[in-house]
Amino acid sequence: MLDVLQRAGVEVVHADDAEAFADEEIAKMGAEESGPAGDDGGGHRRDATGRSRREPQALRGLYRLPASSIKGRLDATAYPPLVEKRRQKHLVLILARELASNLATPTLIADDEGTLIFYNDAAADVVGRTFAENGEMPLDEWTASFSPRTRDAEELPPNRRPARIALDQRRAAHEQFRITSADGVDRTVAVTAFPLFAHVDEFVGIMAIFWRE
Amino acid sequence: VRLKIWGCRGSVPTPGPDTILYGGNTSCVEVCLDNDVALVLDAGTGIRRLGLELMERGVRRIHLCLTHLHLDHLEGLRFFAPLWDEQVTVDIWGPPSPLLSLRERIARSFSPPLFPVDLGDVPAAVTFHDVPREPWAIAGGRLAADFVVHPGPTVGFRIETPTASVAYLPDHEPALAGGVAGKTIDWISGASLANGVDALLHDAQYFEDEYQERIGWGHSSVAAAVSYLRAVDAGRLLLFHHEPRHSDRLLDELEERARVLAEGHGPPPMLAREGMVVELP
Repeated sequence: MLDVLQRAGVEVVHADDAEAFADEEIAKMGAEESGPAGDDGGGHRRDATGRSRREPQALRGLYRLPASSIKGRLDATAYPPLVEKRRQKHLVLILARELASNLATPTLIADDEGTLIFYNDAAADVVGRTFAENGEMPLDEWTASFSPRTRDAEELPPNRRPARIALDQRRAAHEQFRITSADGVDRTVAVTAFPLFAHVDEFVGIMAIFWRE
Repeated sequence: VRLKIWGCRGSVPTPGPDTILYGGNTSCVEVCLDNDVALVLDAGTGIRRLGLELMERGVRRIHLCLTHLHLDHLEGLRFFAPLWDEQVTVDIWGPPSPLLSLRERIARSFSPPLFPVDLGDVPAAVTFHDVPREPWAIAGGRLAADFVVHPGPTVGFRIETPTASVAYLPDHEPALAGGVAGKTIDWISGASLANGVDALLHDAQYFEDEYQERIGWGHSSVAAAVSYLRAVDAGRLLLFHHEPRHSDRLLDELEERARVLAEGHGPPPMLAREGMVVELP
């Protein structure tokens, strides 16, 4: 009968009635189980063995989530901040990391505040340390740890470092310079950095690719 | 918070004898926060019936939040009765695009040869907004939007009241951004929206084997949806955006699969169903 009602477009919307109706229907259906039965809250009724059995579909019109299903309930007396947006990286950075992690080209990513947030395994080969070992840190601090210098052995100032230029001036930049990797090896590297804009006015960080010369 | 599902089918409307139980209308969810103001998520074909009901209820103030402008989330808008009433005010919120304004993009579907009436001739007072980057308030609830992994500019929404929270990510393929395994929450697409919500409406269009043939199409497998549920530690999972080829029988199997996968994580997942009402405390 319920099926007929359902197909006729009749909707059961009162939870209490639906529960009673369900019990009647299950009894009519000659339910094999005996003993306590219950609703798991999802339109399935549990039989005596604990197995879940689907209720007649027409009874599934209205659901109330039991209090036990509510996670992280908010304090109604004090409206807390909605979402800490900074808890999640911008989608562009998430996608950039996924791209970088699949590249054989050494690649790093920094956010809009100049924090190094990721570099890939290929980059780890060049700098001599994995990102897992390194962790997030200010990009300038990380770069300085490799003593970047010109071919004439003069210190490469931040305003000539491609990543810093991309961060500050929001344009692409390229430079070739020497570093001393974390493993103590002196290397010449070329770096190209470019800004990442999610929208015309939304700068979210930079990406830099580099390789050994 | 009271949610009513007016459409949960993905991609294309699928009326017919095989889809009676879960429905064939495309995405549309009503979030009831206030009797005088309607908050609507997406404008798939489900919005047509909702529009008629809103007119009967005498609702004259409507906020419509669009996750994106793919046709299955927009095609009901032209037949949304409140748009054709000059006493109604509609605020439409949607994802920004670097190319065209929200109004310009929606206007394409209100123009010949697709439709005989120009958007400018719609009687209701309609205002278009790019979703703000920071949370904002509507009808006693607070909303947040953020971009999520799906082809083209696409956002998800989080709605909170002082007592409950819900996240709506109907079209979402977090696996394309590396999935959730081993990721901290700050590296998971949409996590700022879904983290810890009481109810999560999430894309679960495919069985796992189907997904293998559709990677990159912007949708999730049921396994990915459950993994996401666990990663963001949400409460109830409502499986959404049903594959058009899935009959009611197959959808029952999908729900069972989700329940097996989610064993041990709070309340069992449920399939969204047209006409379903979910009440959160």
